[in-house]
Amino acid sequence: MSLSRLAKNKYLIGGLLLVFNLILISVQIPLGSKQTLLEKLFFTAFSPVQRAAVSAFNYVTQGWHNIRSLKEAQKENQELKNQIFFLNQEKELLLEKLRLSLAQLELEKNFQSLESSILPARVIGLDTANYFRSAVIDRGSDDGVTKNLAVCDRFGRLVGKTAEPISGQTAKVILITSEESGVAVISASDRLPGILSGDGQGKCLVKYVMSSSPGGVVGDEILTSGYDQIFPPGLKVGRIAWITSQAGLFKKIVVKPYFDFKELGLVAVLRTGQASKR
Amino acid sequence: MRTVRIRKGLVLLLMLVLAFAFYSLLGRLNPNLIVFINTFSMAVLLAAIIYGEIEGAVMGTVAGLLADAFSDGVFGLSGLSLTITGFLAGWFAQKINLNSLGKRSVMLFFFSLFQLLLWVVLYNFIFKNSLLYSRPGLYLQPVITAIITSLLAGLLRPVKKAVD
Repeated sequence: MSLSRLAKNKYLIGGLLLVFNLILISVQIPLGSKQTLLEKLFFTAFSPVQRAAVSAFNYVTQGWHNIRSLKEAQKENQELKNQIFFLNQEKELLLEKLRLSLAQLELEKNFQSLESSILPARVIGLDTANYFRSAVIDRGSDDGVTKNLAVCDRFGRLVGKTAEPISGQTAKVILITSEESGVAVISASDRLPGILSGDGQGKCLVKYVMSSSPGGVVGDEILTSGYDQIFPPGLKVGRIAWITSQAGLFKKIVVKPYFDFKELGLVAVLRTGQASKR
Repeated sequence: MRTVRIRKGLVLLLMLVLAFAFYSLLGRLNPNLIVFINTFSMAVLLAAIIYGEIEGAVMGTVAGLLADAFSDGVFGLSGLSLTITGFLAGWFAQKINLNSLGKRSVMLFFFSLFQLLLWVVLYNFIFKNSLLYSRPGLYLQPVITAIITSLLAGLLRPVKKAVD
């Protein structure tokens, strides 16, 4: 049979495509969360489409919003001007206080490092299979994003960390609600340490806390401990929703994360995390 | 012949880009919407009923791998389920007359349901985690996807004639 006749055999082509997908799965499973070249290629090729679609949507909605609320914006603008005036006064007072306690050079150095450490980013996509697992942000290696940088929401509460694949202008973020995530945490009141991981359904679990351990209080705040050398210590993560310790060696501590998916438009990538220092 | 193939390829690529852009917009509007509407499945079913089984299967592979690339799951999982669905939907669409909206919607519903079940079974098999418990919105996905795809197929018919 000639090659052109073979190429027209639809069952053969269908079968080949099926085998191709099965090969991809069998290659991917042993790799775990590590990406293949083809996956990176798809991500890099299509992330500009996602970026453009979300930007166009933002542009249109923002334009419409601006038209509708021009009057409100003027009023708000005046209020903001007043606020800026008072904030500037406040800032000057605080700066003066700081100048008293720190040397001028050290002060400027601190401000410079703080300014360059926070990288604002927009969430432009959520995980196609399970949106509790990962998201895509519009910052990539061109902006200095590398893997294992902490990502917080606009209130400074932990959202996740950057992960491969990272293209020039986009990067993937593994959310703390993903089963794949792992964050070294500590409870605020009794300093109970543990490893926080997601359940893939919107909640998190503090793992490896012995049933016999006295710590852990419902309602207690969970913070990053910094022991994992990835997340800076003291970032707010969530609150303990409930604890069960009836069966098994370890307690089941369920944490409700602070960040809200519906408000996950703007996030901050912390470039001075412990991971980037290494 | 070559011009027709190139034109067809470009139409399929455009469908894929639009499906992906639409998925991004849905996620931006409300994350729950991407549970109800599977834009990748819509693109594959459209390609299958408009062009046939080969185009459906190729679209299934490409759209599925694209969905997998933007997911933290196993690369190839959606590709496999969408390839099988695309091929079968294309093969079936050649056998029956899909001019009526009702018949088209029923056929698309079954294939959308088939794709979802295949994907859920494979996902559960690998991750040992049932998505049907955590996101009951998935139950509605085949109905919504079938209705929208059926309407789009009706609208695209004159467009396809004009392009051809």
